Amino acid sequence: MSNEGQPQFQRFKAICVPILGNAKLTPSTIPTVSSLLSQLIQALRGLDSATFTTSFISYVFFPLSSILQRNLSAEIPDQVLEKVLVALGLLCENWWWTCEAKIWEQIFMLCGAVVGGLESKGKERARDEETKEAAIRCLLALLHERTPQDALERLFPEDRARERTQELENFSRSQRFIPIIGQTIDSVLGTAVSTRLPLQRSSLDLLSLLLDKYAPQDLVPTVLPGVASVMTKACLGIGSSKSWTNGEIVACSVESAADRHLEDLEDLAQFATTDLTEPTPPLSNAYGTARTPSWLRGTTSQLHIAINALNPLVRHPTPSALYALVDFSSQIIASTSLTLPQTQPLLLSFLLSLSHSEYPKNLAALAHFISSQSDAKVQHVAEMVIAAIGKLLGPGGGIEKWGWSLLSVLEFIEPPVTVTTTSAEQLMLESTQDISWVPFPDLSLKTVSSREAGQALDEMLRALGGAAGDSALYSIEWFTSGVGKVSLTSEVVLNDVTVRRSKRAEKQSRALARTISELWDKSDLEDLAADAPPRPDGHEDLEINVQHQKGLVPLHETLKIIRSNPTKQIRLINQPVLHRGLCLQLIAIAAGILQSRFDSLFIFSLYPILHSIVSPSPFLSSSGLAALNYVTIATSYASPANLLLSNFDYALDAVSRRLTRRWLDIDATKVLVILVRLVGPEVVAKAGDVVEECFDRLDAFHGYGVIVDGLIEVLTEVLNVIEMDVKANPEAAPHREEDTPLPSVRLKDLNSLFEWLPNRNATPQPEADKAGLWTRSSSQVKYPQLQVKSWRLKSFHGRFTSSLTNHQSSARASSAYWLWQSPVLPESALLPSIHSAWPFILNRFSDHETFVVGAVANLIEVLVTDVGSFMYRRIWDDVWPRFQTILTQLEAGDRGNALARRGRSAVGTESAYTHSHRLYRSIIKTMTGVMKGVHPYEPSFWECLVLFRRFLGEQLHDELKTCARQFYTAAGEKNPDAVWLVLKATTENIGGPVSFMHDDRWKIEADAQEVLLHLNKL
Amino acid sequence: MSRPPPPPAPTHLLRSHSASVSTLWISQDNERIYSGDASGNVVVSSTRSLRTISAWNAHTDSILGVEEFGSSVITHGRDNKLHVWNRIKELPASTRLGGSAAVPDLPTPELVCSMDVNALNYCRFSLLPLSSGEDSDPAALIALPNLVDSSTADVWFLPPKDRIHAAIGQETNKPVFATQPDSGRGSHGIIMSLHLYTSTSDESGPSRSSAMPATALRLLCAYEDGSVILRRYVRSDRPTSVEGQGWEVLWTSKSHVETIMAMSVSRSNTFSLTVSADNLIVRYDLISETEPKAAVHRAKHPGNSSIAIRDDGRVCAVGGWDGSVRLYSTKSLKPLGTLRYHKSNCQALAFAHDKPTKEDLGGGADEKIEHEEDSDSDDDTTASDRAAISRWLLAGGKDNRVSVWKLMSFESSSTTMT
Repeated sequence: MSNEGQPQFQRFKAICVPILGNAKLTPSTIPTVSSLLSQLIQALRGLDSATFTTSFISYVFFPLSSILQRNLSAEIPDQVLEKVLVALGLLCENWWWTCEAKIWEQIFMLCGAVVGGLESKGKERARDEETKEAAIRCLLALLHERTPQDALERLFPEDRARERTQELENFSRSQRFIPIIGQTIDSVLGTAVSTRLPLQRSSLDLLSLLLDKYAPQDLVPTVLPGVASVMTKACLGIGSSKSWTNGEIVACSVESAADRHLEDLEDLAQFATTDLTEPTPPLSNAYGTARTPSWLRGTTSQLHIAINALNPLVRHPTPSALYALVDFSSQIIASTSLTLPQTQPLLLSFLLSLSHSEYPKNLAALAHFISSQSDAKVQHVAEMVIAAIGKLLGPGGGIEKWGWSLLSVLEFIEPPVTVTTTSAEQLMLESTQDISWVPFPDLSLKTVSSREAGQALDEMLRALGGAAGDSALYSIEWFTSGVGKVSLTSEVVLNDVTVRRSKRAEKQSRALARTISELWDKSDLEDLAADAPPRPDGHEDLEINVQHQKGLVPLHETLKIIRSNPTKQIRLINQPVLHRGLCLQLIAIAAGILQSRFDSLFIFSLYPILHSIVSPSPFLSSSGLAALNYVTIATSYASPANLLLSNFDYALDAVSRRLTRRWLDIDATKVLVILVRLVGPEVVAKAGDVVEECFDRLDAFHGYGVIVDGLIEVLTEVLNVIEMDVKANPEAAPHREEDTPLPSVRLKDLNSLFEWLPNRNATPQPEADKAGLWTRSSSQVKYPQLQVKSWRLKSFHGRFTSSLTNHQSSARASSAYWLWQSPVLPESALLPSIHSAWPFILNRFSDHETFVVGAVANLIEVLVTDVGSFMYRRIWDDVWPRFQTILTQLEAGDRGNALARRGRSAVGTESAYTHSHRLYRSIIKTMTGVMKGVHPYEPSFWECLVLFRRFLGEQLHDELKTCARQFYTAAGEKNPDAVWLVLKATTENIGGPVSFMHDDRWKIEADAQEVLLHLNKL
Repeated sequence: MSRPPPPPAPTHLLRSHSASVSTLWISQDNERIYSGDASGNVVVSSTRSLRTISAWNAHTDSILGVEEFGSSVITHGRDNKLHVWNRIKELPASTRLGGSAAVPDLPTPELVCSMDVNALNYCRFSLLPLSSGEDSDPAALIALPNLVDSSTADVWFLPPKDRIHAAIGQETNKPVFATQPDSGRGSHGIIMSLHLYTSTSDESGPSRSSAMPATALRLLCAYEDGSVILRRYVRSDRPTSVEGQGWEVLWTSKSHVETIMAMSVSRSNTFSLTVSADNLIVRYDLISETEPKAAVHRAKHPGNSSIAIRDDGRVCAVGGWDGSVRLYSTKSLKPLGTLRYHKSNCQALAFAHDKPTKEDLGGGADEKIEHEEDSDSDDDTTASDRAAISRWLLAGGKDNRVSVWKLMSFESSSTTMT
């Protein structure tokens, strides 16, 4: 006893001596002993392991043993015995290292007897459960393994733990001890089905320990059946009031129930492991059962039944139980490939159905199991699994369950993942656009939360596919169809199938791609039907696929299963999105399988792909893009643009189909836009068709705002592309046959006339003319090519004009915009249509929407600058009077406008965002264009100059002022004198007949000065 | 229609024309669609890919008719020409490169021979193939309006381009330059449509020998004044005729009040249907050769420009000036449905053929290879595809487009459209 141990020793002495004194229990001493034992237990618990020296343990043990020795077991009340056992357990925790085998055995036997209720022979009364639990704990302390660390803590050599374990195990395997162990196992089995959870739990622990370590090899077979059946009972809670189903009601019991399952399953698993991995060597022993084949058969069938009985566990509410089941199943499958063939499918189905719970670990376990399998016993196990799969998938049955549970797994897991995928995919989308075109983006993250698990699953399916071969095409079919919802897997299947290129696979995938593409039709219809139930995701596709499996007997069952599945109701909104995304992948896969033979399917599949690209969901749009990419590669097109261009007719056909009342799809116009955009400049050649289609639809859907807007968007896109095209090839652009900008033939005075007359041939003008001729002829050379493009454009030009009268104002504005763009047309095509459209254009000036008027004014501006001579009459006869009217109206309107500038010379409004401001701006700009491009018609020219003076006023909005300055400058280039006269006469009274013009209302001096200065420079 | 909207829509559109489509024809094996337009272009499209196999400018004016004839194609245009072209053989799918909507240089068929014909009256030729077995080149009789007199018809023998019968239907023997220019003309006006066939009731069918068909020949003509006349050739001793001699009128029926715009004869040559500017659809029984048996049906829509009868003779489609295609049962002329897509005049209609027959003249060696190959690789899908194609109806409109409609079979119920 060390010095420091001294006070401790004193303390324990104070407890132990009275116990010893009262070792002979009488009714009067029992309370005393009981309280003393409690004190002892408390004291022992407070000690650290180093103080448990051998002498100390012996010292404490002595009173305890004397209690047991001096009393008949029947005389020891449960309460006391329990405390004694607890104390013993605490002691044994440390005594294990040092005690003699004899004592170890004695304690073992004592505890075993207590558990089994054997020590009180003759008495019917068994010990209560608390006592049994204490005994079991004591046994656990005796038996459980110690680590080298524990040895070091107690200042023993490191390998002491192992040595000691060995020693005790050897001891326990002696012939004499085996019955004891058997008896104990039997007893513990009895307590394992107890309703007291701590007891049950510790019994299970002990059982596991006993079977694992101490039970000799030949004993195991003997006890296995009993253990298995008890375990099954325990699992299912047969005969216990607190079965797992109601066990969960008690909050604390949930955890323990789970643990319990965990434990017993482990037992079983270990059992199977230890037992069955070496089933053949027949051993005979006095107590053991020979491991004969017949025994094996019997056992396995029993096990099978037992495992089968575990079926309800699949629906266990606690995750830990499910984990345990998964571990169990995977372990069994992994280790018993030889012995439990008929159980394999069962277990597999456990796993698969388990994997539908939302805990990723399940999947991970499944995946882990599969991957370990393919690693370890590649050939053998693969065959095994294939056989199992075949059995599961065979027409015999089970497919539905299997497939469905797998599918439901993946569905359950999808939603949370989508969120994470989205951003990744978004990135992918961007990167694909930046860095040319990358191959099919890695989509394997879609269903599984952990990458490893996903990959493992991937591997599994790959292994399956590889092993299955042509004969198992059936299951491949299942994989493609069923698992198709799981993108990654299908890609795997793809790999296999492409290698083999079986014709059947080709056919299958062809049909698949087609039916899937048709889904888009269906869903569109359903979307339109307002009262249609929210479309559940993959079921359609499953249905269809099932229909493809010819000769499948339980077809209707399948359908029923799918339809009746209650999970339908809790589908999330994003499920259809996912579904479509996966369908897209299937399409891509089909393309991969068929490769160049996929061509014929473009007619069906292009629309889904494009439709997805324009989807607002990033997930879908990126998968759409990926699919497009993949298909492009698979069908060996150089780029998606090429692909689309080559199949433009199909795409257009599909879109126009979707624009009929029958298959109306609001997004079809968007598809068209994306189509145009993706194809790029090449679309020009096809533009005619697009535009024609658009106008047809505009007619058909007159008044349906959404569609009209969409179509307008398409047309705008087309024109943008055409414009880009024209800009990119300026030489191909139609060359305006400019009328010679004749010098102003106005006679300033006779001198100038005389000067001019002899020189008129010497002016550089003729050269310009020549150049003009030259370019003209060259442009005519270009004409034939151009005309191919433009004759179509011309044909729809007329339709633009007709849409000028569309009742939708945006359409009107857009048509003006289109016309504005149209100078890309050759003059010969443009002018007639402008001519015929002229009344409509003019009428737009009285449109009540400012932006329409503005657009038309823009159009006029472009026209006057491009085809000035053509516009001469039209401007001065038609447009200018209208402008005058508008100006008058605006002036009147401004007077009543709260936004108008106040003040003597105020014109226009403060803000640049008013109608009047915009109109002013349009008008001035148009007239500037007129000044530049059209011969002035003197009276109107003068009117114009006079009228626009006010826009130079200093209080005006800067923008208007700038426009006005430009106008005067442009006018000055035509007729500087008139401009000078107008401006001068306004700013200062220069007398003469123009003195009436003097008007200082607007204070235009500064700007007038600037204009005049500019004119002087010319 | 038991189902209100949505109305049926065409399954596909062919946009290969830039002028209004004037004629349509689909090959016997349902592989190729021939369409001719008002600018003289003929486009051959594949029914599988819906893409152009070949497109060329066959005539300088509107195409009246296109038809396959053995390994060649006959086109008939308003430029008063009838051309025979070597048909372009489509490459088998396996050797084809990736299909494309815009194949830059499609092959143009080679012109074999030409005939000057009279196309004044917009009347399409009528081809009567003489299947002379597999060994020799196909021969055929072709009926055309007479070169001078549009109210009479000629029958030519192809390929030698011999005129066998001339001016069938000439009523008098007056010289063309008579005092009354119209007196030489038939009183029925010009021929609007004609159909040449051999009567099955007559035993001396033309098919078994290369000898001229004699008395089995029938010529059904539809006239400007709305009458339809069935004639037969009676002179068994003389294979040729001039000035309409030897052609005997079996019956004359005038049921239309307006000019007949189109006539279609059933594949079995048992009955024919005519439409005109009025709202009547008239059905003529061709089996009865003694008296006209014409059943007049008053349709609701006047102004019909085209008609087609399906191979099984149960359903007919009538294309109207309003662009709609109306389907009728040929027996009762009960309306079956309306197909509305074209905006204006639906000028051409063609039903796909029931089932490709074995001795199709159309299938060349190349195609046979292709078929075999296809049937190897995708038997099922193709079978169903073909079944679908055999229910196609093609309509060509003034809007330059050919619409493809997938009809239901009308086998079980005959009221709704697919």
